[in-house]
Amino acid sequence: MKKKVLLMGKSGSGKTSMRSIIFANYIARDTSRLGATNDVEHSHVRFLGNLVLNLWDCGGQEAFMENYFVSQRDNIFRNVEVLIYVFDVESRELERDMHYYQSCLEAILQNSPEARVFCLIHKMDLVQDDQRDVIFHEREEDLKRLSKPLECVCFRTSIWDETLYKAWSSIVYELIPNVKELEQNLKDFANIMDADEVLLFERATFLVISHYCTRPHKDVNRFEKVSNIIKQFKLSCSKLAAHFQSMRVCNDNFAAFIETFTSNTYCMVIMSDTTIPSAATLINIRNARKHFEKLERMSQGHLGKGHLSTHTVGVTLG
Amino acid sequence: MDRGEGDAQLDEEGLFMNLDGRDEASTSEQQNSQLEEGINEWSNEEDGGPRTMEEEREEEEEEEEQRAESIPRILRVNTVLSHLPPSSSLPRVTERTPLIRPASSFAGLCSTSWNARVGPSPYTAENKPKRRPFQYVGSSSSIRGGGVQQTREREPNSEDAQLYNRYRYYSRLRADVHPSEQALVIPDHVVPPQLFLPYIPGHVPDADGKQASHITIIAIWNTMMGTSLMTMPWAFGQAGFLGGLIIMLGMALLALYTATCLLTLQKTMGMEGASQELSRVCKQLVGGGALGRVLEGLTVTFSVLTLVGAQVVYWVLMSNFLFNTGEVIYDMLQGEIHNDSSNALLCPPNVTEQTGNFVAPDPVGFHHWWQQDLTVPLYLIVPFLFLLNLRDAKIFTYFNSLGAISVLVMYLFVIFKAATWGININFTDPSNTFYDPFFKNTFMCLTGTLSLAYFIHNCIVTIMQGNRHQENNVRDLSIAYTLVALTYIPIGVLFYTSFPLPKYCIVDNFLDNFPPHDVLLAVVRGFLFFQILTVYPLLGFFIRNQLFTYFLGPGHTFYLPRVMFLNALLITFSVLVAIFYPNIGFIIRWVGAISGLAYIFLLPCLTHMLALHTQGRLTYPLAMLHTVIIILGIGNFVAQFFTE
Repeated sequence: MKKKVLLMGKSGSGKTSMRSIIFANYIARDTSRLGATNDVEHSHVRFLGNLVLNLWDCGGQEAFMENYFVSQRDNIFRNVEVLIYVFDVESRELERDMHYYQSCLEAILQNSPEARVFCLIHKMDLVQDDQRDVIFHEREEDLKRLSKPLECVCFRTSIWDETLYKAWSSIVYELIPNVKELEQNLKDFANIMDADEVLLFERATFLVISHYCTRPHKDVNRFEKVSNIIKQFKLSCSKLAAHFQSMRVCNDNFAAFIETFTSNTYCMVIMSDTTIPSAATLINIRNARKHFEKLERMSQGHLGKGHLSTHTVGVTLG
Repeated sequence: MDRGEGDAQLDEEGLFMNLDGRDEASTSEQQNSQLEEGINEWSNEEDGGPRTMEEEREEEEEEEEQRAESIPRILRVNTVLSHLPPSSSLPRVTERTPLIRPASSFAGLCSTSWNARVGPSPYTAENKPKRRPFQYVGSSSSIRGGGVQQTREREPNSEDAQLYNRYRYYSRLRADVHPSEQALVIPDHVVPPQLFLPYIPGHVPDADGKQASHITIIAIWNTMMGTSLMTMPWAFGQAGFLGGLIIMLGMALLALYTATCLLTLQKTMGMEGASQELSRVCKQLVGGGALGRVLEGLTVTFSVLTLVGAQVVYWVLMSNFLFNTGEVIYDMLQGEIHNDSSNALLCPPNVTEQTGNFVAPDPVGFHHWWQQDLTVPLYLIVPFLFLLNLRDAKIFTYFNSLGAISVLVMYLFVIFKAATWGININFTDPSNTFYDPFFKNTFMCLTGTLSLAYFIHNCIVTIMQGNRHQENNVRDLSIAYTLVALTYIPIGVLFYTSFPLPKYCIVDNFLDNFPPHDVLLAVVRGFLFFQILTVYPLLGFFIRNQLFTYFLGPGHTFYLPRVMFLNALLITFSVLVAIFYPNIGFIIRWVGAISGLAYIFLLPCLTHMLALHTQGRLTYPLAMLHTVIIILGIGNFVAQFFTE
């Protein structure tokens, strides 16, 4: 059964923009605000394999929304894996925002008590630099207090700096079931291959799930940059009705490989040792793929752990 | 409908490249060239990325082409990208499918070299300039001997570079969105300030796009200075001498106070941040919802009413000026000579003429076809049929300054004439031709006229937003109002006091007291005619904009039939008034009273009191003061009914 990720928040808080950026979708005009039966969601985007993102708007006609909470509540709030609630930092109606939030939490408690709750305090670029921390911590305290008995994790975000990317990366990171194991395996993988860095990207959003560097790198923004570039490339590709499978960049100084990895992930491998032929790396990646897929399936089936075997040692030199 | 994996978003047309056996060679070559073009375009666009990525991309292109050579054509497409398996739901197109972007003309681009299009490079390897995109400082690192171990002097700008990266990505996302939508548009406060200005060599621009105080003051003065200037002498006379002076000063102060209330409303409400539009602040104050919508509707109604009133007055004036200009030209062509033109004065037709040449309305010949009240308004329709339906009103704003010149000329003219005529006024003897009582019971004509003369309340916030030093807003507004008062009052008082004919001769457009052939005034009329000609469509544009935005929302597009319909209504109305009741004094004082009631008296006082009330600072004296102002406004409006 597909589990839902609800993206909710007041009208105008930035949900659609956020979703467009993360998923590299075109911006959908929200025509079906008062849609027919229960279609307040605008889009279904699948990510992490078995999760579906539903965008749900909480603004506009209040009376309608109140009613909606009552009548469609079970339908919407059942099978929710994650609730992401977006608050606009410059909203003047804090009372009403909190009221909606609490209604959502009540519905979640009743229908999907296991769901994880994330709160994003959005549009932080509109707040002055020196006040951002203060305001964020204030809101965070309020939200944590109001969310009891559920636990909520708060992030402050703005689409114009790296905070959006980091927040969503953190959210995705927490949603991967066996992420620690994955990281351990990535480390082994990197060491076996002699790679500078190995990254795992989520397939739909290109958010970095985990990474391991053997050699440190100065650019802290590189993840977001790579993510954006690849998403732009995917945008171009989609116009030609093609979808992105792999990319290879080779140079005097390094070779980078971006390949589909498991059903939910892409991996990116950076090798600075140019004496290693790319075919060798590709074979390594191919072999590792099977292992990581098994890991994924096991985690989804909640079976035991696995180890990266030495089959992958394969074809390194020296 | 499930939109698939989330990787590729197919749109409804389902752009799809065929992998049929037929026409493989030609179509796949076209497709490949399109594909290459797509990749080239994409990589050419990304010229600002950091060095590593630039290299990456160049290498990628080269690599792709290298690989392409060695593999049969069909598979060229498959090396880097893989296609979705054909499914029955996607339409198959056998000939070349058009790209979304109208780039079919670029199909041949990749086959010709860059040099063939733009000519050979003027740079050799030695004198090649080391230029970098704007967000980088420091020397450009070179590929030779560097590579990944580049100098990182651009650390300070890595944030800028990243912002630029984001900006490019979001622009891409916006490619299919209507430009008027605001989503993902980079806001000003995020752009690094050094990127704001284009550098023009030798020119030191104003860094923030705002204007200095004196320019704001002049802008306000220019906006307020309108047709009421010509009505001033008549209006002043309606109130008696002392009454007139008191009312003129009082109204100026009152209008200034309420304009200040509106200007500082945001601060009174305690709202921080940049200055916002008045309607938005009011909506905030009222809290949105139905009341906000009603308030917005009222705002729009009164604003449109003022503009329509102004348009009607303009049409009457234009007919007037055009008529007089036509008369002058006709007389010049006919060779008529007026020997005492410099001293000629007129009294309106229903009073006995005293001096000067007065062209009797000759019903035959030229004058039959050129009558101020009958035919000229109709002739005016001709240019406006075209002008009013223009989409963009910016061109008309350039001619606004003609009005300022005309005002100055009129000002000097009045002073000059007053000097020659001397003082012709008498306060005591009712039988004297120049008798003017201190107070008259027709004073409401003056108050109504002044309501329109000092009216700037609907756009003062917008104008003041451009002021560089926002803390000086109130000071600048006061100075502007003083200047305006100093323009209106002397013209009104001096002209009235020194007018050598009986005072009841003064017409509500004082230029009409001079015959058409007065040279200086003919020139002034010509200027004014041209200025009003350009302001009329501007007003039409504002009316159109406000009405359509209110009814259709801010996303409304320019749809010619309904624009033409609205313009036809406006023109018809203006022409009818110009033909049947061209009495601008009447129109001005009524429009002034109504819109003044709304914008000068009610809105500022009510919102000010409400804002103070929400802050808990509303004291009894303040409430009394504002209530008195509101009552004055209502009284102004009601009194208009009671003139004879």
